[in-house]
Amino acid sequence: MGRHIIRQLATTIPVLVLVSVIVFLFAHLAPGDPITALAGDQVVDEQVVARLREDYGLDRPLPVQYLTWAGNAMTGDLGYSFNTRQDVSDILLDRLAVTVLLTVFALVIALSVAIVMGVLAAIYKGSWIDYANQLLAMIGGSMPAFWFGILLILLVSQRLKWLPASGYVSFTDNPIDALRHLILPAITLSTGYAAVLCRVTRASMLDVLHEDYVRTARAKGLSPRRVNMGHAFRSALLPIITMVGVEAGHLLGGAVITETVFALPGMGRLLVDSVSSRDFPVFQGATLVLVILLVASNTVADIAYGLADPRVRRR
Amino acid sequence: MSTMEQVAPGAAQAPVSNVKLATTGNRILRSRRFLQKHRFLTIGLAIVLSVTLIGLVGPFFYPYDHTEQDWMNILAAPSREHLLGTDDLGRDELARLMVGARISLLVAVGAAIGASVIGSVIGLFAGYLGGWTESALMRLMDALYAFPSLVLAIALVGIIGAGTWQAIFAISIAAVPKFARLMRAQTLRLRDSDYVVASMVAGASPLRLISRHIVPNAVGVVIIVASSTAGFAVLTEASLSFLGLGVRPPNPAWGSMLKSGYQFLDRAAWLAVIPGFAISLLVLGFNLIGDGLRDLLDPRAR
Repeated sequence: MGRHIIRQLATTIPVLVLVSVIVFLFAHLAPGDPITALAGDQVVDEQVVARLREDYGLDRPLPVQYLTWAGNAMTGDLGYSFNTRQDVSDILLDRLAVTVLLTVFALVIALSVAIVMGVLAAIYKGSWIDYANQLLAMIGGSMPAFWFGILLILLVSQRLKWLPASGYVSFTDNPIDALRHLILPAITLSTGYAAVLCRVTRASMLDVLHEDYVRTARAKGLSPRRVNMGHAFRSALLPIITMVGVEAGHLLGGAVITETVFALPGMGRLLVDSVSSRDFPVFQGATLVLVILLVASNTVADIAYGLADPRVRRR
Repeated sequence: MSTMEQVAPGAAQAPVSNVKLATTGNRILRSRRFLQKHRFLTIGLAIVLSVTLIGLVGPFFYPYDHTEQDWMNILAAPSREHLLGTDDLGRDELARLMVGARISLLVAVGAAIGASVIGSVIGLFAGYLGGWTESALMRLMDALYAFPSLVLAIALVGIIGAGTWQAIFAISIAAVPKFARLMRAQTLRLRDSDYVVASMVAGASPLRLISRHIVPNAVGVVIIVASSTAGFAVLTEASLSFLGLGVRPPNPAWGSMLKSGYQFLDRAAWLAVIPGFAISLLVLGFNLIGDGLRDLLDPRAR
């Protein structure tokens, strides 16, 4: 088991190294160097620019700059924001909590909805439940998250006045209010993801329901419920676990949009702001953290898959 | 090789005219049955074709120009005069929506073609050449795949700037790894298949093997993924435009229309609701085509 986990972790290292190179190059491929981008239209003294370049180490060769940046990043030092002069790691830590809270909340909603709907659709294949489920999954997968969020605001906040339309309250300040502010964003974020998971659940459950051992269980006279939940669902869960990890990018990408619609101070919002204001250190840091989150969730899914399926572990 | 090429056009013209007449009725019946059987594909095609038609032809038959400002009618509700109301500058919403369809379709087609061509070429090279090239290319694809696709698109637009073509490029790159992986798997599968090995033994050049045997047999799967990529492209472009990083303002992209409508949610909710509906519909159309083609070309996938 330990070897399985170590092997999974080892495969992520080259990916992470390449990702860090790409993220580093992003900022350096941008037209002009960061200092001129920072100065914008202001007329800046040549000497000041030269000194700033030296201060930020921008006059050294690219590979050296990369190694310095990557080395610092490993120790948690991602430099300083061009705009606010704050430590990038501090900004990221502040924002990370919001995004993690939002995505975990959305994940829980998506998983519960998708599993209930997908399993029901598979058990009652061909019935109206199945068709309604497929239709909903199709629509859920096609709607832009920001539009669905706006519809929710119109209905739940403006018309019914049940929940606040935007803003963020820290969990430590007021847990109940924090939750109230997160319900609509989490539902918004969960739709596209739930649609994908729902289709996977249905397909995987259908596969399993045709297996011999499920027929045997039925023939033994077990109640349909025990056959469906005890025998079929447990093995149908494997592909679902994989998809939860593989499609986690949906959640992280969606978080960018959702945070914008609901004015939540998360990583996604930070990324968009840093791109708009050409704040390269923040931009690099935010991108890196988002990618690491996705790689981590993929790896956790792979490891979980191994835990659930002994055949994978032994291979 | 040359004889085959000469035979091919002749074969296509083979049906004799009187036979053709007799089978016309059958053919209509058969195509109707086909469309009934493949409902997803039919509905998807109907949606995408209608949007295309409305986008291309609609503006010519509509009295308002999408840039024309009617200062007497600002944020006007839908009425007989302005069917879908007007925006904050008094521009007709329907006129803008129709022109916006062109942008969405351009991005959808552009990104689907861009991603499938670049990705397939990379996958083909990786799969066919193997060894060092394969490792290098596929590791790069793994790294790109590690980015949440919207995050990658945002980052790319951050470098190259906002704009329609920039958005197409960014979305293409975000979708490239999917095609590269797909094409590599197809190439590996086909390269070891008996008829390709036979052809290789018979002395066929690599170029001929690729163009005659591998590409034609892999193209079906690529098309399936390309059509759902078109849906992904519409959604991603709308997201970029909504974030203010996509198509630039005077051009009425649906995402930016939604964004500006969002500011007037309490006074003119339709300005946010209508473009979002258009986006959903077009994405749904492309996704249905993708699903329909999958059923049609690859029945085992279900």
